Amino acid sequence: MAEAMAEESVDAGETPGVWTFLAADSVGFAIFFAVFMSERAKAPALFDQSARMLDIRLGLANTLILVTSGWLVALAMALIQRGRAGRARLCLIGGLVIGSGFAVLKVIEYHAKIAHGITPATNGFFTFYFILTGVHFLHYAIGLGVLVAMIAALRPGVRAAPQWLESGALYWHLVDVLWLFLFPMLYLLPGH
Amino acid sequence: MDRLVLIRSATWAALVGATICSAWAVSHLSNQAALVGTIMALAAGKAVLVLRNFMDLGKLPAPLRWLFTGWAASCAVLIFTFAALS
Repeated sequence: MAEAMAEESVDAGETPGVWTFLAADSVGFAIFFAVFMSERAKAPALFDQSARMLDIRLGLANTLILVTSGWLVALAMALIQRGRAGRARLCLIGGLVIGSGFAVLKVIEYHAKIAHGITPATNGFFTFYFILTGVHFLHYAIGLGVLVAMIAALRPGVRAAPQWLESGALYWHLVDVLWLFLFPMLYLLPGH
Repeated sequence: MDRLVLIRSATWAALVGATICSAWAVSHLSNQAALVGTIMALAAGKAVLVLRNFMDLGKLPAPLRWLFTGWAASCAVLIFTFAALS
């Protein structure tokens, strides 16, 4: 009884904490979006011309990868709530495998740009492109590590799922939400 | 099937559909304001779907719910406004 109460209080304290972190991170990205758009307004022709050099198909594929990975992680959390840790673990592994595709496509994209002599120093658009996608990629890489830790925490034989799994899933969803704005802002705004 | 699993799966289908629609809009809408408006409305809608149905935003206190919903709407309006003005 005392243990259950202790777990409850940890859970109650943990969730608002992670939401505070997510809120701060989201506001940071909103500032990035505002700075990018204000710089775009100063040189729309340059930004439009540069945006045309991005491959929409890669951005689209990466969006589908992240939403599918996020869906599997969301299913895993639903299964954990029902005490089905084994199936939840499979969903998390699926989310990790599919989510890894984002890194593959991002490496292909970065490599193609650099092979064509396009770097952060090329112009203002590509400075922002590399910074924004790079900071997001850092979040994504941490998120992948969190998914690996979540899968390890649900290894066969573990009786109860740790409370922090919910925080890990929330973080992974934030990586998804941030990309949902980066994709249209960088790849889809008129210019194509 | 479990209701929560069903809601989350329907959300995933809506996210995929909205993502494909936004890419479709780029090649089919010629009016710039309509295009940017459509793209950003879809982006905000997708973000709210993830927040509500994957992240269980509805379980949070009202101020936090409004903060995150407002954040998604503000990002979309901000990007739309700057794009429309440039």
